[in-house]
Amino acid sequence: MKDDRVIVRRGYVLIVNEDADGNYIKFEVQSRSFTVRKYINVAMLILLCSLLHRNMNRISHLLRLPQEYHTHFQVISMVLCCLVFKDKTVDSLSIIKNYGIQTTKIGGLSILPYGVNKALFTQHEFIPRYTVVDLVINEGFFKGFQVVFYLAVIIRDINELKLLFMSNPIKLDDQRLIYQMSRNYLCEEGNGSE
Amino acid sequence: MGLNIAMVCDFFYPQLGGVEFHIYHLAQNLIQLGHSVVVITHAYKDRVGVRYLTNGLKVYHVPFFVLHRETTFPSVFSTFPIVRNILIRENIQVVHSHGSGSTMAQEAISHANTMGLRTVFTDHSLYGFTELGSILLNKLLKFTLANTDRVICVSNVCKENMIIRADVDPEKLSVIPNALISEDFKPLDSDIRMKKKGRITLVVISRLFPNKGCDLLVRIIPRICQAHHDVDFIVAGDGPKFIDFQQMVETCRLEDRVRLLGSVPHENIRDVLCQGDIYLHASLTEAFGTVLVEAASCGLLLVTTCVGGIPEVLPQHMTVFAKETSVSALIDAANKGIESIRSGKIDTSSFHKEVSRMYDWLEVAKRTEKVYEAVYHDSSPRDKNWAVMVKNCYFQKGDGMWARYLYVLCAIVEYWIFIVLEWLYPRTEIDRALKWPQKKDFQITRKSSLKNM
Amino acid sequence: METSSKLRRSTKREYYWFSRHFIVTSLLIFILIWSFVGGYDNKILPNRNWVLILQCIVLMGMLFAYFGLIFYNDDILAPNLDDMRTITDSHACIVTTDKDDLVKNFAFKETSGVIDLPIMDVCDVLYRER
Repeated sequence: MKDDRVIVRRGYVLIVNEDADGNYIKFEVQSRSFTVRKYINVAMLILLCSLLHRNMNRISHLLRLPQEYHTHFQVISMVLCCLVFKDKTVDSLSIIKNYGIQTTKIGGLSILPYGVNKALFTQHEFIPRYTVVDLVINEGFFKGFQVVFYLAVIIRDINELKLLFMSNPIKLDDQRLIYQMSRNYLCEEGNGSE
Repeated sequence: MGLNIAMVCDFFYPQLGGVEFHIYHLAQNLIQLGHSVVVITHAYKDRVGVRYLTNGLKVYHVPFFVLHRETTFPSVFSTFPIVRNILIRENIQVVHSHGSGSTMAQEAISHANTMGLRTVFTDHSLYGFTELGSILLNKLLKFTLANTDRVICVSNVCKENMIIRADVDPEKLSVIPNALISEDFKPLDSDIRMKKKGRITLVVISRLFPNKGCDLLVRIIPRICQAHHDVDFIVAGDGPKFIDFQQMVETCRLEDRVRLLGSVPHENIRDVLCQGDIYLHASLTEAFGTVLVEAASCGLLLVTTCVGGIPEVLPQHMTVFAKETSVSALIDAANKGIESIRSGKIDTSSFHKEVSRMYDWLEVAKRTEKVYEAVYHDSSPRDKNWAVMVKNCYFQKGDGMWARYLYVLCAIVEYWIFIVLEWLYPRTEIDRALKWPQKKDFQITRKSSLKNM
Repeated sequence: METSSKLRRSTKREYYWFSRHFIVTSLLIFILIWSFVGGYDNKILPNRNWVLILQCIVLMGMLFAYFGLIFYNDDILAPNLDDMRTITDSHACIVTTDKDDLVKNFAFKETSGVIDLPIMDVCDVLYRER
């Protein structure tokens, strides 16, 4: 394996992982303040749970719950609170030469460690080589009256683009880097006789 | 090192018309001269977003509510955020707007002035002074042009109209006429003439709206057909008055002598023109009349009304003018034209060469480039100072008290919106777009594109 | 003959504009009178407050229309980023030749008609390694 290449920007971190044989490349983008956010979320979660715990009697009285269901209600509300605080998604794009493109999204709850989130909340999507038309940098109108650059994959016979790295928008320079590096893995070297 | 220019207008492809083609060809020729041009227009049904045309011309189709006949809803400030974003990301230095009837064009000029960019405005039509619409438009134009650096008109008549309408300083005005691509409008070789022997064909190509003289044409055609038995008509174009033409053909039983072609796509115009000997133009008002130049380039004799900028367009020997805009005068002129063709007095084969010498888009682009240079040469940072611009608005000649204060209020609100936008969407956060490379900087590599395309 | 007909035409326009001026000024005076005279005591005109309310409705309506227009453009008219309309549409004539022909004849030359370049080739020209 070649060394990982890490590019740090103001809002995100881009990690490029290349295979030494030239068969595989992976781009991963995560939010720069990932751990800080995680700690803040956990702190807010503890705060919310303690507030709930202190006012439990008042709330159950309001909801007119019978006595024996108090603890059940407390547990359920705490679990629901845990589900509210989510970590920022980590996006990654893997290109396997001659096989296809795979996009991965790792979501997760703040309260669980990263390893557990990776095991439980990962979504993969694989696009076979023969259905990929191209990987492009497109420009479009985005909310907030702006025109943004974004990476997308054009897939044969599907009327929608597959958008990449939407959770942590990356700058044009990094998009160009991804585009240029992925050309080697997507294109065939040849004399163009098709 | 060229300039970064933005052309703004409501009217662009896929709508086909004089202004649209003017913008397209001017932009293409400016790119050829080494500048970088971007076109900003509104979205046309499903054509929305960013497109790249040949030669690297980038077009932004901005999603905007369209009010009437492809003009966007006039609200003085709502285009500001998106236009500001586009102007920043393309590093635009000059904003060139087209058309007084286009709200997007006028708003873009005020936004560009607020942002400190240079502005140029081109007008393509003549406007009256008595209709309510014209009066309001002229008032709006005064506000817009108070701080524009240069104004370009397509003919001398248009220039005078502009000076009277909007009180523009004549020093700021230039006259640069339209042009045409003469290779696209070549006459047919004499041995493959499609015309019928012994018959003379008159061609009319126009959008069938009342101001194009359709009422006159509907009366002229039957009388000419009655007077001359070897004359045929071809009428191309569509519009509200098409029904009148159909009724005229039915009432006077001219089905075999008058052909109504309906709307003809632009690439087929030349074929229609080449079927004729004479081009008949009955427009009530015309700033330039590019279709006249196209007809002359195809070797047709012109019979036209003498309004607007038409006398400036072509030399005397190519045209027969009607003394006034009336049915009888046009019929006299048409008779004269038919007689000259019949007797063979006029030889139209040299028209194409003359027209191609007179009108060329590259020349237009070079003259426009000179206007841009003049903008920079005569400019100073004080021109775009907000206080100076407000003062210009306030001291417009001939405005009443209401108008002055309204202008100043609009200007101040615009500046406030600019400050808010600079804070909400800072410039440093906006990714700058890459410019299309020059051909010499580009090489085709051996890497082919994806194999299964 | 000519001058008298022109004079007749211009007096018609004068009458037209004068009558407009008269109507608008009378409307203004009527509103002023209404704001003083109308009330719940007398039944001559409706309540005075209606003048204020109507003016406020007009003003707020204009403001609402402004914001409504902006958000209409941004939310409803703008297509999603993954929509195919960001790449192509029904009005587009796209170049469909191979790469060499495209670069030779379309990428750096003007065409007479309006032709789109496909996005894949645009990305290649713009973003490839120098």
